[in-house]
Amino acid sequence: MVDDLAYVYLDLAAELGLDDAVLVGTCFGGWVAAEIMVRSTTRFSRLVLVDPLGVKFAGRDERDITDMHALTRAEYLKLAWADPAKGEIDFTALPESELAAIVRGREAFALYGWKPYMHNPRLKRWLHRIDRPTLLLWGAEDRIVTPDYGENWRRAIPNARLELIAGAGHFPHWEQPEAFVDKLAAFVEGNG
Amino acid sequence: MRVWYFSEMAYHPAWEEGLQRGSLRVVLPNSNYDPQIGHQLLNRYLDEFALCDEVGLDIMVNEHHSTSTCLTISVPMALAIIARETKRSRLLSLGTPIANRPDPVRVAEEMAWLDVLSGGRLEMGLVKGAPYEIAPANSNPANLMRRYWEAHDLILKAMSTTDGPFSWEGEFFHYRNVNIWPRPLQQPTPPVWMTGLSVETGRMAAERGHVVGTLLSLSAAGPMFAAYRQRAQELGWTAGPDRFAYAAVVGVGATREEGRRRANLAADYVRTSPVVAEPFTNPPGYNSLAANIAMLKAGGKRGGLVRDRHGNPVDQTTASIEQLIESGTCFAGSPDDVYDQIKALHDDVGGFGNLLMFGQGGFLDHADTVANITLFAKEVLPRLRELNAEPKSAALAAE
Repeated sequence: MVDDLAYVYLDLAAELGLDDAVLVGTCFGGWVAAEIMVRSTTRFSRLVLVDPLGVKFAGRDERDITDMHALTRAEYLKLAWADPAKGEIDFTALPESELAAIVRGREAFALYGWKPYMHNPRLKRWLHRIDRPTLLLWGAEDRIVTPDYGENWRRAIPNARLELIAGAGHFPHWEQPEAFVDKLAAFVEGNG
Repeated sequence: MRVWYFSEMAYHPAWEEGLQRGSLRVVLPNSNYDPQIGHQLLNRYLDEFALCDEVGLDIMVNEHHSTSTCLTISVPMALAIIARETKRSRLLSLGTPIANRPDPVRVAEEMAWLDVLSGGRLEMGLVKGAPYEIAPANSNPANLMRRYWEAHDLILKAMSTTDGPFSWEGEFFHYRNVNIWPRPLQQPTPPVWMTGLSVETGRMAAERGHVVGTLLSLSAAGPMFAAYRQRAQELGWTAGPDRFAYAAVVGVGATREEGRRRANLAADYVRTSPVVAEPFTNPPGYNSLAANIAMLKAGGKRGGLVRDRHGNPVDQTTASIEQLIESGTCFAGSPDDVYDQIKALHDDVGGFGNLLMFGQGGFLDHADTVANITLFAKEVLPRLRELNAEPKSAALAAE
């Protein structure tokens, strides 16, 4: 369960003695970050969620989150990247240790997110507990979770802002790193 | 040797459309299924199962979901009918995909009920299920085998416990009062079967004394059976041939040509079965870390089931009947041919006591199926019965 991960990271934050830290999570990591913050915000001053998964807003007949496990790799890249060519990976060129990490990562992603698909049905009702300034950064062309879904997140968190990054899909930190860092830095410095 | 006839009760009228769309499973809309034709087919297939009882064959039923290749969606439903229409055949469920079932106690109930209904003729397969069964069941592939073993243990405990109720608070399943009625006729449980392709499955089956079956693949059967025998030896017992099962497409005819024609039609099962939309072929965690690394290294290409005698992969979707005979996927020809091919493979893998006879598939029509079943039972079965006719060896030793 994803709440296990939330407690692991809260323990880690305590172990590291974090104070006034900025918590950033992307995609599945955004889900984990939200699960952390609804439990405790004491060690964190700000929250940044980048195209997060994890919450169900729409009705039972509608998807909020694209079924990534029903897509071929090519179909997935088209939805996850503004420029799908940038997401290509030549797996045959990677060392075995890295392939093992990728395979284990895919297993963990399924373990935590298979059913209900990539969300915790109870998380939405606790998002009001996030009492820290929150920035939702969203790839304008993300079709895994769309900016409309980001707007729902913005409404559910008390002090949240949604900003779009042009020319980016589900991974703006990889696809538009400069724009991503600019927006992140402005928010962290309190100017954003 | 015992021979277990089976058919997947295919809806082959949709295959052409499925092949064009690149998937016969999961994503092929059921508008391609005509229930009126389906009605005729299901009843025809059940008649063919019933015929097996008359000619002395045992019977196996399997199940798949959301597919045109197999319209048996519930082993217990099909076996309940077949149990009433047969008197002598043993009835093999191979089987229930227990890691995809939300309620293992329900599985135990259904199997016990079938055993009672059939007068103790049930053999009970508890199977992992194919990777493309994950999507229709929406079961989590990442912890599939942990769930499999918990369901396995619970089902056997539910079937063999006579002083219940007992409670079960596991990782996946929770019950406070397990006390199934009826309990099975065969005590403590009907014989248990597993299926697989790997050496690891062979070892795990040996640790429990279960029968282990493998499908269509000579190259997988040998190492898996050997691993089973070795593990049994380590545990102090000798695994007899009755612990092993091998599944193949069988076509027999009065002449070599006629037998090959029948096998070639039935073998369309082998050619269509792997045609599945790519995302559903390898759900995360279903295959081992090593197998997944190998796939990524090979640029996403997956090793097929069918290999020739030298271990080289054969393209299953286009394989000729000659290639399928060569790979041990089909036994085909005259009664002599078929016997000789089975005997050769039997000797190759160190012996097996159960042949799972895929005797009907796809476009093999009723007349040909009846002829296939009848001729096999008359001309081949008596000779196979003589093959390794030793008494059962493992059921007791595994206690």
